[in-house]
Amino acid sequence: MKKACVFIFLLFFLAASIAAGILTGGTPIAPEMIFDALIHPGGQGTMHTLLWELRLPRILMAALVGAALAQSGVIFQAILRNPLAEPYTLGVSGGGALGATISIMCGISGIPMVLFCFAGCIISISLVLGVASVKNFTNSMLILTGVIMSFLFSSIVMFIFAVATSRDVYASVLWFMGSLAAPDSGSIRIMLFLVAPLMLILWGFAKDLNVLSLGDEKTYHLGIDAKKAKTALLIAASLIAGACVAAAGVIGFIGLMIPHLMRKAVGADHHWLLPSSMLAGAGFLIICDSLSQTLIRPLELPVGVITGMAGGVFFLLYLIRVKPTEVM
Amino acid sequence: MGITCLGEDSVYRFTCDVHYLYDIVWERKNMLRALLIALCGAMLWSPGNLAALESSPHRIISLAPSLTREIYDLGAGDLLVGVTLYRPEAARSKEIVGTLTKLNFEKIFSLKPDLVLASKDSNTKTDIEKLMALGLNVVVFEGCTSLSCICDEFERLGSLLGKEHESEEILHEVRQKIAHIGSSIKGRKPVKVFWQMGATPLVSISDASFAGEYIRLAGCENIFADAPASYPRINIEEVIARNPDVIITVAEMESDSVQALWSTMDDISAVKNRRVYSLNADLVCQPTPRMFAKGFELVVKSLYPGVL
Repeated sequence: MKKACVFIFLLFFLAASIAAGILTGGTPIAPEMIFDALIHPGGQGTMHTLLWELRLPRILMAALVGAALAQSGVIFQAILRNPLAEPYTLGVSGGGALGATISIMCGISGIPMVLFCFAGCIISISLVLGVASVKNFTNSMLILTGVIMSFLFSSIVMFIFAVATSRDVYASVLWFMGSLAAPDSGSIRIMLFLVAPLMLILWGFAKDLNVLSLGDEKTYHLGIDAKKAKTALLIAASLIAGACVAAAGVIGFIGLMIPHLMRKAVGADHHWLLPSSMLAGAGFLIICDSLSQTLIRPLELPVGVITGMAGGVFFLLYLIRVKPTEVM
Repeated sequence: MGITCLGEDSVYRFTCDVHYLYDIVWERKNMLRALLIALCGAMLWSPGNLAALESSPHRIISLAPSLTREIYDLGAGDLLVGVTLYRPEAARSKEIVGTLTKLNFEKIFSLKPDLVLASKDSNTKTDIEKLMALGLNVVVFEGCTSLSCICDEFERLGSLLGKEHESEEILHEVRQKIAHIGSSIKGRKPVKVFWQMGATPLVSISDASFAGEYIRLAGCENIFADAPASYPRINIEEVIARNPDVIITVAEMESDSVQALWSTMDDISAVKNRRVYSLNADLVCQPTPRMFAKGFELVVKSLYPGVL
């Protein structure tokens, strides 16, 4: 009963955050004008373009990225059984950053850049899983390989920075900060046609996640092929994270914080945990993005600044209040 | 060529001709390829240029501080409706459309500009493409590393804004000033210069940077002119080994702390002869014609004391 209440609350939260996202943005617009442009989707004019080509795609992007990162975080925490696990634990962000840096150095932009970046993510995932497979995918092996890969990739990025022109370095650093602004069609397509279906499919694996989160030994007794299930789920969760990185850069904290909060709210059953994390992540990132646009308007903050600060403070308070045994 | 008259001889000649043609094409393959790439590049990179010439713009947004300054130099400040946060004093009253790191796309779009000016130095390709995708008329200027490039781009800006006369006047004045400085240092012994951009880490400039042009024009030698990066990180031992006659430091850093950094390095002739200078970054790092002339004057004063 409590779970259902939380779920309904989260639906309202998402709806409210979308409304807030539509009503606030980079430039103030009167609500009646927004409403007018909203109910005439085929219309013309500045207001129309502003809403339909800038504001709504941005909200869609924030919702998808937020949901995807939160879900990916849930899966990583369940499989790796580590409270600090998050979507970037297996080095996805490092690979993505390297892909983005190389494409900036080569003057590639737009959709090819998104693909390049995604390729970087996939390469780093394959490397981590390949190395970890030698040691039978034990959790410590996975986490350590992920950390090592992140270091390796960031060193390569630093190496490129050392010999690149300042203009390219600057463009790369901007990319690292993450941005949901004016998403290009490539990013939106990846999120809509690759990530959204994958997220729904992964919901169906809630039972496997419940079992896997008990640990390898119990999984064995319950008759699930732990290695197979683990690999498949890790690949899926990393792909989701990689797509987010390719589409919006590295946005931190959502994939770490939302799963913890939701586990507190709806419990550790992944049938509830996965969808509520998606809803909460989507709503949270939309609100953070609105804040990033409005706090020092007309200037814009990197959205990672908001997720990091809001999330960090919130998460600290939560950790202080919660009993040590309940953290994971 | 008629097929009926093709004897064996003419077939041979024909094939030779084809081979010859083929050779010509093959030889010029790289040239053709470069031409093709340049053409594609030109088409992709500045589709706004042609459109902008049709009528002179009335609502301009400048996305680079140097462009904003140039627009004011040309007397077209009243056409500006939006600028970035770091702007010259004159543009205080204009709407702000973002910082150098983040553009507010909604704001830019809602100002309904008929011309958006961007620079390859200040704006990322991704941002520029996003603005173009919104149907805005975006014109992109080069990030210049030479005086002639700065002047050419200034001239382009002038004709874009219908201020050809003003741009010509300013360029004339700037060229005269630089020629005057050049003639006053003629015959002086060139010195070896270490141009320091930052202290931790120690960063210098190569010939591929904007400030490298000052040293070149002054007839002096930049000790890191051949560095592979335009802003290379330098090992201090290498500075000692190359033994510059003059050290010019550029930044907002305290000149005392710079002097302290070098004060123990008596082996460097610049330190021995007390020729370590600090220049204000705002005065020597702005790629506009007028600022270049001012910066050049400052640099020459440090390189050849007592000349100007």
